[in-house]
Amino acid sequence: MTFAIDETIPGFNVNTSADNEFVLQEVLNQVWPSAFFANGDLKPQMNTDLLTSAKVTSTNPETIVYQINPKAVWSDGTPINADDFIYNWQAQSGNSAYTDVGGKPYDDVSTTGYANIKSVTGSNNGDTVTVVFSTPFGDWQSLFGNIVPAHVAKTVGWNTGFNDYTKVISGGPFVISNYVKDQTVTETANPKWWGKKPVLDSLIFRILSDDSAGPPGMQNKEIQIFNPSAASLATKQALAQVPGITSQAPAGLEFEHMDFSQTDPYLAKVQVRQALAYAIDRQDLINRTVGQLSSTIKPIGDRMFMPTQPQYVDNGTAYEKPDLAKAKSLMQAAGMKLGTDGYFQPTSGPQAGKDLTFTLSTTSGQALRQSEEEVVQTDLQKLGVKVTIQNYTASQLFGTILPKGEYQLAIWAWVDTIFPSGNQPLYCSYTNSQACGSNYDHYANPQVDNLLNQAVATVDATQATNLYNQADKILWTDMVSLPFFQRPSQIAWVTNLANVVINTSNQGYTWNAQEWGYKAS
Amino acid sequence: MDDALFSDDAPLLEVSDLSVTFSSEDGLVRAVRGVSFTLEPGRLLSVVGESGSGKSVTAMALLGLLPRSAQVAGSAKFRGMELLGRPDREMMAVRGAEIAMIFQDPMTSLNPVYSVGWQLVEAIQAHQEIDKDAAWDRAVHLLDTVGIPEARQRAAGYPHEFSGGMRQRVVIAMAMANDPDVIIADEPTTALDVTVQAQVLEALRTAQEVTHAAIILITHDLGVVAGLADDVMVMYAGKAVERGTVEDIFYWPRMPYTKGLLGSLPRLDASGDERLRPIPGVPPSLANMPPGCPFMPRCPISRPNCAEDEPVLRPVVGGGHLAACHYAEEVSPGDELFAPISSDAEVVE
Amino acid sequence: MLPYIIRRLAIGAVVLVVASFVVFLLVSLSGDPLAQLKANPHIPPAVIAQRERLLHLNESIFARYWIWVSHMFRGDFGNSIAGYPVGPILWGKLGVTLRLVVGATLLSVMFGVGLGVISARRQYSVVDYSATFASFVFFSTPVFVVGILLKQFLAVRVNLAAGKTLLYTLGQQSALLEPSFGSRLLDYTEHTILPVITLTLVTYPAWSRYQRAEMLDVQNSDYIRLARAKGLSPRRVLVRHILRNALIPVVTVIGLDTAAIFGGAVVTESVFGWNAMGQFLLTGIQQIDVNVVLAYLMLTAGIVILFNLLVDIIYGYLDPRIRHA
Repeated sequence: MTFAIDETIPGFNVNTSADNEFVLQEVLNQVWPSAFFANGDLKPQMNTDLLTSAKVTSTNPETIVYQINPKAVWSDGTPINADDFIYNWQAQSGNSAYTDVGGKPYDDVSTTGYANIKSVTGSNNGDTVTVVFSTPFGDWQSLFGNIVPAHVAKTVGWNTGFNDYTKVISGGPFVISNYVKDQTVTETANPKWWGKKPVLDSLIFRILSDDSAGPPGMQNKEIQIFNPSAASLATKQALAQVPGITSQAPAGLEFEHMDFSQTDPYLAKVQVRQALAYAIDRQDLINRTVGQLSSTIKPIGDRMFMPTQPQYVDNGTAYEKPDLAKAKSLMQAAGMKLGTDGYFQPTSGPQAGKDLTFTLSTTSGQALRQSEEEVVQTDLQKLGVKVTIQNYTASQLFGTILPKGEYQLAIWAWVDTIFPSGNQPLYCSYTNSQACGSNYDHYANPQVDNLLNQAVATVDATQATNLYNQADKILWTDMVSLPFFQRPSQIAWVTNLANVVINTSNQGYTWNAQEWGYKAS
Repeated sequence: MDDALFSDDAPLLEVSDLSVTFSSEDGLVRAVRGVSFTLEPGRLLSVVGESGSGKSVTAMALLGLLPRSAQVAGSAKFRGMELLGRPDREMMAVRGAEIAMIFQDPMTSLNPVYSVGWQLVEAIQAHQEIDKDAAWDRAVHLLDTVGIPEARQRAAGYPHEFSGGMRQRVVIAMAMANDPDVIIADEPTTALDVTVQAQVLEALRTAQEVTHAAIILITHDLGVVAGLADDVMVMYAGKAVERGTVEDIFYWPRMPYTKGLLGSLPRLDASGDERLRPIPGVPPSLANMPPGCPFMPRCPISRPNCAEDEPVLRPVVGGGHLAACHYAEEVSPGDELFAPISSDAEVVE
Repeated sequence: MLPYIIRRLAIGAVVLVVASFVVFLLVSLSGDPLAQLKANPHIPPAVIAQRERLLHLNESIFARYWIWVSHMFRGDFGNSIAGYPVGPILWGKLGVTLRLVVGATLLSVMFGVGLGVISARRQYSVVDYSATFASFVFFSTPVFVVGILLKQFLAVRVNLAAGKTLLYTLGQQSALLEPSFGSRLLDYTEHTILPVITLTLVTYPAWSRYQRAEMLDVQNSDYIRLARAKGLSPRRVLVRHILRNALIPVVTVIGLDTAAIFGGAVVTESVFGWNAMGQFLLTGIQQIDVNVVLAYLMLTAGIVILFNLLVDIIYGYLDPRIRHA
């Protein structure tokens, strides 16, 4: 069974910023053990092979007790125990007291949650792990994913030690038996695996360099499952020509949105932002773009949870349909005068007496985003606002333009995980530049700060969901950003491969690969 | 070469009714229209005519060097063996060995990437079973014969290191290499400076002396002909229009065209006031030729019937002198048929 | 000859230095290699700061170039953004790319020269017209289209007809390889056939047109007429005179096209999922990985300079009119 992925793998420690790639997670799902993983319903699910239980035993201070399956061992025979939990916490704690081999600081892609932990202790011969938090962290189930073996990491190093695949010992159903750099990763059954035996003998990951190679590769039976990096109509059409496969374009957790920089004196006015939002026909925008890939995609009404997630609530009902009349009256309320040429003119500020013009930016060279820009430009012209387009390369946009706030309107995507705490840095007040560095819009609302702080610290999932959605309602009222749609992902597999279950989270499609198998034909 | 194919009684080279036709976008081009002549051993036949009269095509046809698209008819027998229509691999044995050829432009006749010695050796070894060193010695000797100084050193030189006259000597040496019976020299001096023309002709004469070959010297320059040729054949529009000994042609040309050619020749013995008398007009296009005498539009003595009947080459005044003119008998040596060029004359078509 | 070679190599070195500086500037100024990390709100600033120090991003662009140059003089290509030494990766990938480039060059020479000769010998024949038509079709078709068409119409059918996979469309080798040399060679070959054909199809047409034109030119020249008049066999005239002379300019064109073949290989590799030099360059550009892009440049530019020198030297031997002093 060969799975086609389309990014190269730098090393195998997915927790480092150097190695963190979506495809690496797909490669490692069956190798590094995780306490919890995102299942097909986009909810966290306990890894019952690794743990027999994981319970919140106290909320003040927040305390979690993990019971490790006594049978759990690494593929070199070393038991998986509390030492591994302790090491993985220390490495990702962001605490400079802990260092990697040679005294180097740990390279982490994220310290979220781990930084809140006060202590991790083992008992019961290392099978019981007790985690005590100094500040409460609601998404505790996101922690202890992709656990690396402490006894190996302490020797070879966390940062680069796992660039050598032979050091990657397994705590899952498969073990990496061969790696040809930038070509293939071969995984075979882990002889020390204590859980249910996987159906397939081996999983081969073939690294493509271009999505267009996928469909012919499927037709030529060189790959059996293919997950392109970007969904496209061309790939969809090419896949439609291949016999005997199932091809889908499920809505993903990545969503396109337009942001308003509040450093601009006009966009700082909430009426202007609302007016622009009312003027944009989002359904029309979808029809002209991703609607061709998937007919189920609808405008998004929630920034914290996507429509495909169980916690989703439509908080943006007011903006369900465009309302040009309302948009125009909002513009007038914001002190804009409609000029004889049909464009609004500010009465004060840098553009006083001139036709109101905003610059719209996004990443250059992306047809989808250019189409989005054209729809926005047309819709805002109907309102009476001129839009000029100024695009940047991804590195310019994300490296300079957004962080420095050198834009007015901008379109990009946020990638959600199933853990909503990741939304906090995007919407908490920008004045806290350390924790809220991704609030490029320079939005600030103490009410939102308060709700998000509570939500992040709430251990009860229902209660937390409620708090996140309350914050989102305010974001809609303040019209901080206008969510467009979920970007579709794309997946195709040979139809006689059984048990492939769509999982659009960053867990990836291999989340249940140990259950895959060929149907008897 | 199978000697049985040859006949000792047969003439050295006998060409009869040779015609060559090319197809072009303008229709069929009849480059050679029924040429006949005989070449005797050791003689020098000069073929004279303006460019496009069919001289070179005739020579190329004899050696089978014309492109495939050329349609060749008639007969050309070398010692009784038919040359026309003979396959390439059989012609290989004739080319260079029995009949050798020298081309007009010595600057481009030699392959630039091989030394002249190499090319001579190649010519020698094409027809002689001889080892490389002996062939090289022979090549040096040939170069020496045609007047290349320090031949042994120069043999290793490449064509671009030689002057035009020297290159033509190399080509002449190559023609001599296999002691041919016939050497066809196609305008061998035309591309050369006047000062070296005489030297090259001298080399050609040496070649004839050494090999005893009969020579066909193709030229448009009657001045070259006078000192060298035994016989002359004048060609016009693809046909032989006059043939005879060099004396016949020079002292009493019977075809107005020949007379015109002689009139356009500067004469060293002429008195000061005698000016050149060029032939007005241009030769006809060889594609879709009208009936009648092709020279008629330029001819000062033409009559109406010349437009209908093309004259055949016929004997005039007995002997071997032939001319193709209805009124050959009216052409006398003293009369000037063409007007002299005037010093202030405009060029009028 | 030796002074000439030394002079040419010195000029080549200057070209490399200038090119490396220009490319260094272009790549470095094209954006922030850590932008993606910075866009991720979860990554601690300390991690980013550490990566910046490792990449010397806190220093001036000239200082960074100087660091690169001084490493280069020690034969060290530096580290990639992810922190891996570029040199060993580069050599490994060069080996893979050479399978494609050498194979396609040899095939293209055979096809280009062969078809050019046949076309010229049979000018205006059915063969000539067919070869001309095919040349123009392939010449005007982009590499990736040729690749995709070959996959769809050649690989799938051949494999179906054979009942097993003979032609692979993905990757330069299988995931699991038997260690024996024979089975490795077979596996490499099965993976290399389609990419080589693809690159050949876009490379040979220009050469064959060129060869044809040169043949016609030489064929009608006076010295060929004289060679025939000397009584040489048609075969000897063709091989020793026509071909020998017509090849001289073609050799130059082939030599100068090395750069184009490497360019075509980048696209071909991408179409067939080879992760060799092409992928190395493309990801280097995408990730603004200046050491990677420069390593590619140094290597390919070095190869091109050497090839051009080689062509000039060969030219001197092929054509006595050219002499190098």
